[in-house]
Amino acid sequence: MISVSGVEKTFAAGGNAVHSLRGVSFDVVPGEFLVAIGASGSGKTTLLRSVAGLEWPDAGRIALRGETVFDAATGVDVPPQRRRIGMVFQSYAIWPHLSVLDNVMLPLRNGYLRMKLDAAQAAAMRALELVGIGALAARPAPQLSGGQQQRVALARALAVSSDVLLMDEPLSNLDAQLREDVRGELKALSSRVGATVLYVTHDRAEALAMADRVLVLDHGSVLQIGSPAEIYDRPASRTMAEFMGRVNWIAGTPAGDGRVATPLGPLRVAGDVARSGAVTIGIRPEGIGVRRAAPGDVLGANAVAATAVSVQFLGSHAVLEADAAGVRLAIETRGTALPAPGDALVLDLPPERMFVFAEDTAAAPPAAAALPV
Amino acid sequence: MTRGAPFVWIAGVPAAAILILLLAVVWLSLTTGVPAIPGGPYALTHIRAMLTSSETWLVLGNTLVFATIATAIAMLGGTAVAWVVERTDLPGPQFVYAALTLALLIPGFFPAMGWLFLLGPRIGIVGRLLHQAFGLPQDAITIANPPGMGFVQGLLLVPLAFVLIGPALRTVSGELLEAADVHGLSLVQRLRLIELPVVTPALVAATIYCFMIAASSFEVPGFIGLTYRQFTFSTYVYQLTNPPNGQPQYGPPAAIALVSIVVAFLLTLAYQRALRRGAAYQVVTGRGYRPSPYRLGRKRAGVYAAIGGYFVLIIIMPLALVLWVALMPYFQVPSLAAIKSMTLANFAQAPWPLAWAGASHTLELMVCVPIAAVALGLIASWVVVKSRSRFRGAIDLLLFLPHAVPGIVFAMALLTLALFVLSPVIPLAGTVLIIGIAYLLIYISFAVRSMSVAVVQVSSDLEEAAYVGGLSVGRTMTKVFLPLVSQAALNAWVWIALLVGRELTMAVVLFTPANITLPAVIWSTWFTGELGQSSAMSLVFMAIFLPVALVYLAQRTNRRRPESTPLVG
Repeated sequence: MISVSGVEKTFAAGGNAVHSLRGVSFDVVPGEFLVAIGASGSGKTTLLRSVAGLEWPDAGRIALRGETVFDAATGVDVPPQRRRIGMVFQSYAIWPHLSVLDNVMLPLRNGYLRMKLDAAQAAAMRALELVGIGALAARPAPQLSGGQQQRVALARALAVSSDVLLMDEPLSNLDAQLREDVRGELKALSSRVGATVLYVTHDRAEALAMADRVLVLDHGSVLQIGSPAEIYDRPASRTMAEFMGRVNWIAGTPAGDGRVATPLGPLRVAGDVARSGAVTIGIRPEGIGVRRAAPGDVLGANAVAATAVSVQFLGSHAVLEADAAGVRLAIETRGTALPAPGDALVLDLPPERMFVFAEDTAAAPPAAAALPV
Repeated sequence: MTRGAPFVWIAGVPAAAILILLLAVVWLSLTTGVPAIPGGPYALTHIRAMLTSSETWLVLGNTLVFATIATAIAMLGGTAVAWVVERTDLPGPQFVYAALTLALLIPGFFPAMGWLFLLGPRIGIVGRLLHQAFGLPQDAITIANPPGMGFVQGLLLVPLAFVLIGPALRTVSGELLEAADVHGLSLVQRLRLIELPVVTPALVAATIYCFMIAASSFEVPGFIGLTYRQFTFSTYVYQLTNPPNGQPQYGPPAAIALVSIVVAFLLTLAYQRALRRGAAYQVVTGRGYRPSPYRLGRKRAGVYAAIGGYFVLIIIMPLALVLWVALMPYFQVPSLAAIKSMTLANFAQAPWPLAWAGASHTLELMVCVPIAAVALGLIASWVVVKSRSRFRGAIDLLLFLPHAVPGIVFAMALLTLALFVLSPVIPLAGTVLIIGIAYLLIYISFAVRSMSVAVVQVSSDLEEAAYVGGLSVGRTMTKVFLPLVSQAALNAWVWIALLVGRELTMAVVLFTPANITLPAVIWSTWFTGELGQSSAMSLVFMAIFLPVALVYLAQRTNRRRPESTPLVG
C-alpha cells in the first residue's frame, strides 16, 4: 500500500550536508499500522513528509497503492494534492477561521473529491460521528480543546482518505492520561475502517502499544523493522536494544557448551555463541528474577548472589539496584515485600530473556551480529 | 500593590503631554478672537464653518482618495513581496528584506521630487515630450492630483506593508498550509480558502495602519500638491497655519484637526480590535518549520523583474531625475543641447551656510531624541506590558495616538502653546528644543511599539526571581531587565535616529532660521522656486543618509531575521 525504496535525503545545514535519510526501504501492507520511531533528528518526520509529497528526496522511489508517486530516477513527482492521503499533523493544523464541520468539509468540496455540498456535509458528519465529536460540528475551531482538535484532525484525514493515513506525532500535544486513552481508540478506529497507517512518534510506549510493526530509525537509517515483541525482545543490535529500553550489559567470553564466562560466573545462554572473541550479554531489568537469599541457599544454574544497593518504589513496580560481583544490575520487580539496601539477594537470569552480541572490537556502530538467543 | 509606581509616573509624562496637545486642539478650535492670536470669546464658529464649508469636504474627500489609493498600492505590493519571500524558493530572501528595509527609510520628499519632474503639471518631462511629439496638452498626464499623489505615497508605503505582513505570514503554522496540500487543495484554493482567511485579521490591521500613515502624510502632497493647491488634510492645515501671505490662522485648522482626531480614535480602536482577532487565531503550534516552499521555476525571472521595477520607480528614477535637475542651469527636457549645458552651478549656489546650520540641528536631534524616546519607550512598555497599574490602558492608548493623529496636528498645537501660553515661562518657539519635543512625542510611540516586542519576551519569572532574591525594582531593572532588552533598545535607538534625520512634517511648522533642520532647508529652498538648488541639496542629503542607513542594515542582517518590526511614520 505504501512502498518506500532506497530513499535518500540530504539537507544543507550551515554549509554542511546533513544526511537525513540514508537508503530507507520498507513496505506497509494494506491494513497495516506501521509505526516509525526514532529520536529527534532521526529522519522520521522527513520520511513521513516525503511520503506525503511535502519533501523531495534526493534519491529513491515511493509508491502509494502500487502507483509510483515519486521516483528520483525518472523524475516522477506527484504533488501532495494528488496523492490522495489523509494526514494528521502534530499541531493538528485545524484551520482557525472555520468551524469544525467546515474544517472537514473544505477538502471534500475543494480537493480532488469535488463533492457536492450535501454529499460533503454527510461525509463530514459521518467522519465526525466516527471519532465521536458529531456534537461539536458547528463549533468554531479556536474554541476546541487539544483533544477535540486532535479528533477533528483525525476526522478530516479519514474523510479525505480512509485507506492511506499518515500521522505525525498526533498525540504529542495531549496530556499523559488523554494520550493513553486516545492511543487505543486510534488503533481500534484505524483497523475498523481498514486504513493503512504510517505513524511517526518518538514515544516507545506508543510505538509498542499501537504498532502492527515498528520501524526504528536512527540517524536516517533503518535499525530494525519487526513486530513490537521482536523489536523489544530480540533487538538486532546493542543500539537497538538500548533504544527500546533500559538494558543491563554483562561482558563475557564464550566458554563452549552454550556457556559464557562472566564476572558473575558462567552463564548458560540459549542458542549458538561465537567460538572466539568477547561477547556482551544483555538482559532487561524486568527479565531478571529476584528473591531474598535464605541461609543455606544452593545457587542453581544462572542464579547469582547479589547485594541490594538501592530500592525505588514506583507504585506499579519497584526498581532495585543490585551489586553482583562488582557488576551493577537494575532489576524491575513486582514483589510486595521489597528488600532493603544491604540485603543479600539471589538473582535469576533466565537464558530466554538474554540477548548476546559479539563484541565488536571497533567502537564504531555495533555490528548487527544478531544472535537472538 | 504598586510595584514600580515611579515608572508609571515617568511613562505618564509623555502620555499627559500628548493628551494636553490634543486638548489644545480643542481649545484652539473654540477660539474666535483675533485670527493670528488665539483667545476668547469661545464659540463653535469654526467648527460650524468647517462642517458647512465645501472646501473642508473637498479636502477630506481628497485625503480619502489619496490615502485609499496609497493604502491599496502599499498593501498589494507589500503582500505580494511578503508572500514571495515567505512562501517561495526565491533565492536570497534576506537581500529582498534588506532592500525593502532600506526603502522604508527613503525620505518621502525624494521620490516626490522625482515624480514631479517626471509627471508634474507644466514642468513634467513626460508631459513636455508628449506635447512636443503629438501636440497633446502639457497637463494631459499629471500626478498633481489626489490619485497621482496617492500612487507615489503608495510606492513609499510598500516597504511598510511588507514589514507588517511578512511576520504575519511567517507565524502561520506551516502545517495549516500543508494540511491543505495533502488533502487535495490546489495552490490557488489554498491561498483563497486557507491562507487569506487565516491572515485576514493581520491584513486588516496592516491596512488600517497603512491608511493612518497615508492619511497623515505630508511630504508627498507637500512637494507635489501644495504648489497646485491640491490639498490633503496635512497640507491644508499647513496652508492655513503658514499662509504664503497674510496672517496665520489657528481656529479653522484646529476645527478640521478635530475631525482627524476623531477619525484617528476610531481607526485606533478598529486596529486594536483587528489585532485581538488575530491573536484569537493562534492555535496549538507544532514544530515551527516553514511549509515546503512553492517552487518558482521560470517565474523567478519575472519576480526579480517586478521587485527590480519597484526599485526603479521608488528610487532609481527619482535619483536620475533629481540628479538631472541638479545639473541643469534651469529646468529642461533631456536633450543633447541640455546635456551640453550641464553645470555644477546649483551645487555651488545652494544656501550652504543655512544647510550647515540645518545639518548641525538635525545631528543634535538625531542624537538626543532617540535617547529620550528609547528610555521613555522602554519604561512605558514595561508599564503597559508588565505592570498592573490602572493607568496602563490609558498610557497605551495615548502613546499609540501619534501613529494615528497626523504629526502636523501635534506640531500646530505645540507651536501655539509655545507661542501663546508658555512663552512667558519658557521661550520654546524657535528653539531646537521645541522640535526635539515634537519629535520625541511622535517617536516615543515607535519606541514603545518596538520595545514592547522585546519586553513581552522577558518572562515575568526572570524578574520575579530577582525580587525573590532581594533585588529592588530599580536594581531588577538595571541588572536583569535592561541587559535582556538592550539589543532591542539599541536597534530602536538607531532606527529612530534615522527617522529623525529624515523627518520633515513637524519641522515645516516649527522651524525658523534659528532652529531649521536639514530637510527643512531643502523644503524652504524648494518653495523659493530654486528647484535645482533644492535638488542638489537633497542629493547631498541622500549621499550622507543612505550610507549611514546601509551600515545599520549591514549589522542588522547579520542576524538572520529582524526580531522586532521597525516602523515608520
